[in-house]
Amino acid sequence: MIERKLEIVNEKGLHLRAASELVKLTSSLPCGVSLSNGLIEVDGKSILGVAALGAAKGSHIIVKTDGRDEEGSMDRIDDLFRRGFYENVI
Amino acid sequence: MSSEGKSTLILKGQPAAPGIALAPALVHEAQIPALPFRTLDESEREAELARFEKALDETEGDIERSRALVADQLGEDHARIFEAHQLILSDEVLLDQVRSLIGEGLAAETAWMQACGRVIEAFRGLPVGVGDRSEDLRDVEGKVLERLLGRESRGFAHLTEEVIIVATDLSPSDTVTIDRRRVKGFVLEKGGPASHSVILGRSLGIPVVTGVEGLMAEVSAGDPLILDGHSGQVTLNPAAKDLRVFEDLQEAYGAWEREMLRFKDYPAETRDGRRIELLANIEIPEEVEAAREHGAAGIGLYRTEYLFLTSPALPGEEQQYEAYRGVLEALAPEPVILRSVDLGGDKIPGYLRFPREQNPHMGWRGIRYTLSMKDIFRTQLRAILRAGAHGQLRIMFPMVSSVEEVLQIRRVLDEVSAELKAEGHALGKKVQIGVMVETPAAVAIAHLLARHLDFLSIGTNDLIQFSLAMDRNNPLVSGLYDPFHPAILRQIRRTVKAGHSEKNWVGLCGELPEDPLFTILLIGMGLDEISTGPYRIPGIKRIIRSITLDGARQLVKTAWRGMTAAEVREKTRAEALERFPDLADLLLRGESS
Repeated sequence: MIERKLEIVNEKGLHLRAASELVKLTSSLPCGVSLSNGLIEVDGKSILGVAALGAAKGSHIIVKTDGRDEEGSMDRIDDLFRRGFYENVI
Repeated sequence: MSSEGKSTLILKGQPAAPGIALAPALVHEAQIPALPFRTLDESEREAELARFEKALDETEGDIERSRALVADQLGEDHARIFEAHQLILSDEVLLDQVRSLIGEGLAAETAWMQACGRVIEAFRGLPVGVGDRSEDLRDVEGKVLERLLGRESRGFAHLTEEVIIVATDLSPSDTVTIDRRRVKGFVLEKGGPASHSVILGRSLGIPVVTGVEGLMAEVSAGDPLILDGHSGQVTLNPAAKDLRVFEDLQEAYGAWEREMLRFKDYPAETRDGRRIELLANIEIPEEVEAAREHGAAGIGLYRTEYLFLTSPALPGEEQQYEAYRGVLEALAPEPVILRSVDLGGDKIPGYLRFPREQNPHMGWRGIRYTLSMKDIFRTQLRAILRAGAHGQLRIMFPMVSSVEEVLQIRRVLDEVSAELKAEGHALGKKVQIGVMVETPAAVAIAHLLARHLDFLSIGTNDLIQFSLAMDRNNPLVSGLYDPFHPAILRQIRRTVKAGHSEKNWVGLCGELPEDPLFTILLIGMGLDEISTGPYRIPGIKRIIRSITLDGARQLVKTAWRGMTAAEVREKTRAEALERFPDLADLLLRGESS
C-alpha cells in the first residue's frame, strides 16, 4: 500500500465533472484506490464517494493505492491531479 | 387541430421569450409519483433485484442515446454531462446500498430513492464552492425511477410531431435533448426568467412562458395550445375565434418585425431633439446579437446571475472575465452596464448554501449578500474591472438601501483596482459607478447616494413591490400592483430630480410596462436612459421618435392631477391621443390591456 498527499489545483475543485474524470481513471486501474480528506475516507472508484469529499481548490487529499501496480497507478492519479482533471488551472 | 368537447381556457404567465406558437401539448411529467410503501416477501426479493438491474440497463441505454445525440447536435462538450450520469449509474457504492435495501425487503423504487436520498443528504453538508452534485444525482434518480415504473424515457429527442412542451420545470439534461425542428415552445408552471429552459428557448428563437399557475392540473397530453411569448398568455383548447386571433397575432408579430427593421438604425430621439439612451437588458453573452439586431445603443443591464446559476460551481475569475470581456468587446465603443451578482431571494445556485429565510425577498440578497461574502464579491469585481479594458464599462449594484453600502462598495472597488494595477493588469478608463434604486429608502436618500456615484438606475419591479408593499406573485393583491399608482410616479420623479441635482444621469432598467403612456411619462419626468428586453426596443424607439419632450412634460403635469392610477391613465391617454396621434394604435391597445 502506498500513500500520497495530493493538492486540488483546478479552480472548481473536485466537483462532479472533475470527479468523473478521476473515477474514469481509477476504475481502469488494477489496484484498490481510496481517498481521504482527513475526515472521511471514500472508495476512489465511486463517483458519489469522491464528490462527497467536497474538496475545494487548494485542499489536500490523501490518496492510497493498494494492490497490483500500486506505484504506477499512483503516478497516473498524481498526474491527473496536477492537470486539474483537465480543467482550468489558474 | 380542433378541440371538440373541451372548453377554452386562458391561463396567464410571465412572457419569457418572444414568439407565438400553436401546437398540441406534450406534457412532461417530472414529478415522482407517491409510491405505496410495501415490504417484499423473502420469495420476491430475487425477482425484485433482477427488476432493478434491468431498469439500470435500460437507463444506461437511454443515457447513452442522449449522449450520442447531444454530442452529434451540440458537440462533445455539452455531452460531458452524460458521462457523469453514466458513472453515477455504475457507482458500486450506491448500487450496493440499493441491493442491500432490496435484500432487506424494500421495493426497488423505494430502495433506490432511499439510497439516492442518503447521498443527497450527505452532499448537503459540504462546503460552499464545490458544486453541482445533487442536481445531477436527482436527474439520474428520476431516470431510473421512470424505468422502474415502466414509463417511457422522457427525453425530447425522438419527437415525430410538432409540439409545445408543458412541464413543471425542465432539467438541464432534458433541455439539451430538445429537437429544434419539433419543439415549437415551452410553457412552464415554475421556472424563473433566468432558468435554463428560458435561455435555451431564447437562443432557439421559440416562445417561452413561465410561472403559469395551475398549468399541470389543466393541460392534458395532446390538448391544442396557443402560446404567446409576448403577452404570456396560454390559450388551452382554442375555439375557432381564438384561432383567428392566433392568425392575427402572427400577422401582428410579422408587422412588428417589419417595424423593428424600420426603426433599428435611427437614434432614440424625440422630435424636439431630446436624445434618450436606449439600451438592452441581457442575461447571457449570446443575447448581444439580439440586442444589436433590435437597435440597442449598448447594454443597460447585464444580469450576471445566469452565469452563477448555470455554472456547476462558483464561477472563477477567468470564467467570468471571459464572459464579460466578450460582451464588452462586442459592443465597444457602446456602453455595457454590468450588474454585480444579485443572488438570494429566488435566485440560489445549487452549490451555495443559504439559510431558510422567512422573507427572502427582503432578506440576504443583492448587495447585502455580496458585501458579506467578500471573496465572491472581489472575484467578480476583479473579473469585471479587467474586462473593462476591452470596452466602455459601467458597474451597477443591486438592492442598495444606505450610503454606508455605497461607501463599502467604493472601498472594495478601490482595493481591487489597486491590487489589479499592482499585478500589472490593464483596467478600463472612466468606469462609471451606479446603483439600482429599488427600495423606498433609496428613493428617499437618492441625492445622498448620488453624491458618491455617476448614475442611478430605477429597478421598477422591486421598487413597485416594496413601495406599495404588494407581492406581485400573490394573486390576492397582484391586481393592485400598478406602475401608474401616483406614489410610484412620484418616486420616479423624485429619483430623477435627486440624481440630476448631483450630476448623475438617471435610468430605468426594470420591467417596463407595456402601456406606451408609461414610457412617455418617463421621458417627461426627465429620465436619461431606458434599458429593456431586446425585443421591446423597436417599439420603445418608435414611441420616443413620435413624441416631443415638451409634450411629454405637459403630460406629466396632467398625470399629477390624477388622484388614482385609473385617473392618471384616463387623463393622460386622452391628452396623449391629441398630442401624439401617430401613436394612436399603441395608445388604444394600451387601454385594453
